[in-house]
Amino acid sequence: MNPVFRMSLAAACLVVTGCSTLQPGHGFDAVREQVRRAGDVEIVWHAMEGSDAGSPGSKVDFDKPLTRFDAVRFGLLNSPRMQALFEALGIADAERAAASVPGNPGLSILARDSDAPGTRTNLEIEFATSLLDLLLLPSRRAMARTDFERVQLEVTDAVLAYTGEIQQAWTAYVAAREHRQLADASHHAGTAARELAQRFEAAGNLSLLELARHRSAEAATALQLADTRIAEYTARSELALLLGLDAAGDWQVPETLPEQGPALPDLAATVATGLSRRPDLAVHRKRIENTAAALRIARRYRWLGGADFMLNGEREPDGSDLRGFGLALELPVFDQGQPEIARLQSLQRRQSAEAEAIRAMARKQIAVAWHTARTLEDKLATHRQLALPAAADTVREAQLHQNYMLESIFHVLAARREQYAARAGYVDTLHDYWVARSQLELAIGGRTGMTAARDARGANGS
Amino acid sequence: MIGRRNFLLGAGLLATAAGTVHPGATARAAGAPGGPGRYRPVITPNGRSLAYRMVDGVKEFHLVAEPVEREFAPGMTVKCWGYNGSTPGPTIEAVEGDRVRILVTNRLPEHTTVHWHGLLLPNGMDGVGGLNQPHIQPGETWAYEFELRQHGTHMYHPHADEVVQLAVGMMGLFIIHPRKPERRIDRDFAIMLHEWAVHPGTYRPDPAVMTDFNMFTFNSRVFPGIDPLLVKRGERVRIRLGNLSMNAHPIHLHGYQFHTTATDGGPLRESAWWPETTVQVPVGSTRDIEFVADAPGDWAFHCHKSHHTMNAMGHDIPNTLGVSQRGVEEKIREVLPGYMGMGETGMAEHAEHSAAAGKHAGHGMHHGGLRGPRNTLPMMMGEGPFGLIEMGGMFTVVKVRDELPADGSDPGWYRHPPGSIARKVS
Repeated sequence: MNPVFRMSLAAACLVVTGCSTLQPGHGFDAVREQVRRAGDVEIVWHAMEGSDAGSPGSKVDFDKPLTRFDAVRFGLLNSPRMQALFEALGIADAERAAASVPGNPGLSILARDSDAPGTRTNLEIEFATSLLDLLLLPSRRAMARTDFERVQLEVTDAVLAYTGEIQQAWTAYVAAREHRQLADASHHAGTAARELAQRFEAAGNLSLLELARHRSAEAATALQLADTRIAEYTARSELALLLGLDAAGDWQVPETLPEQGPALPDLAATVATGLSRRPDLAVHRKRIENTAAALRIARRYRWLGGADFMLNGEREPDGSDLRGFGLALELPVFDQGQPEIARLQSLQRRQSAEAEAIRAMARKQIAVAWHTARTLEDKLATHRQLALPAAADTVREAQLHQNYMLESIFHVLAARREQYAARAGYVDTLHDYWVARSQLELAIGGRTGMTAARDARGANGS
Repeated sequence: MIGRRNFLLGAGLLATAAGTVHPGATARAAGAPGGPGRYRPVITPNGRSLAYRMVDGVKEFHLVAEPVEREFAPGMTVKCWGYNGSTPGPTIEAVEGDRVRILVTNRLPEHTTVHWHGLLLPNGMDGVGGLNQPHIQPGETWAYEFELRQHGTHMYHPHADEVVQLAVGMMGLFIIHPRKPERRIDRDFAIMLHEWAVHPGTYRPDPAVMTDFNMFTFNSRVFPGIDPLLVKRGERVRIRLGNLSMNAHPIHLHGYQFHTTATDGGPLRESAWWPETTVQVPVGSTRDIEFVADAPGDWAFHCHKSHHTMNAMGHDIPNTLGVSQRGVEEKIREVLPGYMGMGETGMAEHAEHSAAAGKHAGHGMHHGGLRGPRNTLPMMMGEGPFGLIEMGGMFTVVKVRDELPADGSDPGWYRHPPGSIARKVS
C-alpha cells in the first residue's frame, strides 16, 4: 500500500473517531424549558426558529391594556436584547464543540533532491498527533458539556433578570401614570379654588392676601403636575425600550396597579426554595464541578506533561523506503504538575468560599425582599382600612357641612386635594410592594418559586 | 302643635303625670279660676306641668334630675340633662300661701342642687351647693320645704357645677299663682328661653362654649318644632318668659301692643305697666306680658336677634353675598359632585334647598337634594301658606282664631278675608 495512502487513511480514521457536532438549536430548548419552569413564560430565538415563532398563546392583544404578565411575555419575545443574549448559546456551543474534539493531527511532507546522479527525490511524510490530547478527550468533553450547561444557566438567569426589569418598569409606569392623573385632578381642584377666590375678591368679599394664598396653592399643584408628566413620559419610554415598542405608539397600561398579590409563603420555605432554585447558585456549582474535574485530571496526569505519536515514512534517494512510528514524551523533570495542582486547589477553595458567600447573599436577598413585601402588605392594609376611608369620609362630611353653610367650600376643596394626596401615597406603597414582590420572585429564581414554596410548606405539613 | 295634655290642663282638668302617689294621698284638681287657691294652669308649649300630691296639707312635688334626650325639632336629638325626662323640667305650679315640699332625686353622674330662682324662702332652702346646703350626691333624694310668700313667674335651676348643668338644659319654670287672681287671664303660656352650643354633626351641648352658641330655643325646641300658641279671639293672654341663657333676648310679638306686667321681682302695679311690641328679657330674669287677642291671624312671635331665629350656621365661611359662581360652579362639580354654589343673592336659596326638610333618610336631613351632617338642622326652615318661612331657633306663631278645635289641635293656617293680603302691583 502506498505509504501516503496508508497515512491518509489513518488520519481519516482519527478524524472520524474524533469528530463532534454542534447541538441542534445550540441547546436553546433546555434554556426554554428552564425559563418556563422558573418563570412560566415562553422565549423564542428568532435566528433559530424564525421571526414568526411563538405559540398563539404568547401573542399580546394591544387593544387591551398591557398587564404586567403581558408586558413580560411580549418583552421576552420582542426584545433585541434577548435575541443578542441567546447568541451566547451559539458561541458557547461552538466552544463546547471545539473542546470536544481532539487537536488536529499534523501532516508534514518534506521533499529534497540530491545532486548525486541517479538519485530520486527524498520524500519524507510524517503524521503526528498528541496522545495526551486523545487521553484527555473524554474528560475535556465532559468539562465542556458542564461549561455549556453553565452558560445555559447564565442565559436563564439573565432572562429571569430581564423579566424583573420589565415587571419593575411596568410597575413604575402604571404608578407614574396614576400619579399624573391624581396631580391633574388636584390641579383642577386648585384652579377651581383660585377661580372661585377671584370671584370672591371681585365681589369685594376676599382680601388680596387670601387671594394670593389661593394662587400659591394653585401654582404648587401646577408644578407638581409638570413633574408627574416628566416622570410618566420617562417611565413609559423605559418600558417601551425594554419591550421593543415605540413610546409614541398606541399601547396602554391599566389605570391602576393591581391591589395585592397572593399571600406570601412563610420565610423559611421561601428561603429553602430559593436556595434550591436560583440559577446563579447552579452556575457556581457548575464552575466548582469543572474545577474539581480539572483537579482530578491534573493529579492523574501530573507525570505526563506531553506525549505525541508520530507515523513516519521516508523514501530515500536511492528509492528505498523507511517506515516507522515515533513517540515524543515530555519529561517531568522540573515540573510534575505541582504548580497547576496548587493553582486548581486554591481555585477550588476560593470557589467553595465564594459558594458560601453567594448562598449567604442569596439568603439575605430573599429575606430582605420577603420582609419588605410582607411589611408593605401591612402598609397597604393601613392605607385601605384607615387612610383612604378617612380621607373619603373627610371629604364627604365636609361637603355635607358645606351644603348647610357650615363649612367653607375652600376647605372642602382642600380636603379633596388631601384625598388625592392620600391616594398618591397608596399608589407609592403599591408600587413599592410590587417592586418588592418582583425582587422576591427574582431572588427565589422565578415567579413559580412562590407556588413551589407554598407547596413545599404544605408537603411538610404546615 | 298644642298637646292634648296641655289643652286638658288649660281646661281645668289634671292630666296624669310622672310622680309617686302614696296610698291615702289625693291629687288636687286645679279647677276653674275664681275661687281661692284655684287657678288656670299654664300652658307650657312642648312641655307640661308637674303633678303633685297633698301630704298632710303640704303640696309635695318630686323632681328627678337625670340625663334626658330632647328632640329640638324632627331631625335633631340632643343629649341633655333635665328633670323628669325633659328639658326644661316640668313647670311647677302652686298657689301663694301653699306650703310646698319638693323632693329632688339625683340620677345625674355628679352632684347637684336646686335653686329656686326669685323665691323668698329660708336661707337653707335656697339651694346654693356648698353655701346653703351640702350637694345632693348621685342616688340621693333631698327635700326642700317652704311656704310660698309671693306670686309670680319664677324659675328653678341647679346651683352646682352651674356652667355645665345649665349649659346642658337643667332648668324649669316655677309659677306661683295669686291666692286671689287679680284679673282674668284666659290663656297663660310659660316659655323658657335658652341657648346651646351643639356643634354640627354632634349630639351633646358643649358646656365650654360661653358666647358662640348656635341653637336658640323656646322650651328647648327650635322652629319648626315649637308648638304654636293657640288663642281664641278676644281672650286675654299672658305669656311668661324665663331666661337662664347667657344672653338677653328681645322677644317680639307681631300684630299687638302688649304690656309688661311683671318681672321675677313680682307683679307691676298697673300704673307701672309699660307698652311694648318687644320685651327685653335679661339673663336670669323673667318677664310677663299681657294683651287681648283681638286681631285674628297667624302672628309671628320670636327673638329679634336675627341669628337667634336661625338654626346652626357657620361663622367662618366665606361671604358669598354678591359672588357669582357661574362657570366655576361646574368646574367645582367635576371635583365635588353635587356641589351647589349658594349665597350670591342672599341666603334665601338655602331655605329653598331645604323645602324637602323634614324628610329623613337615615343620615341627616334632606336639603332638597343637598344633605347635611347627621343630627343637624338646616339653618332656615319652615313652610307657610305663602311659601318658605326661612326661620329657625326662637320663632313660633301665635294663632288667633274666632274658634279653636275642641280637641286642642292646630287649626291650620289662617284664612285671610278677601282683600286683606298684600298684593303684587308690578
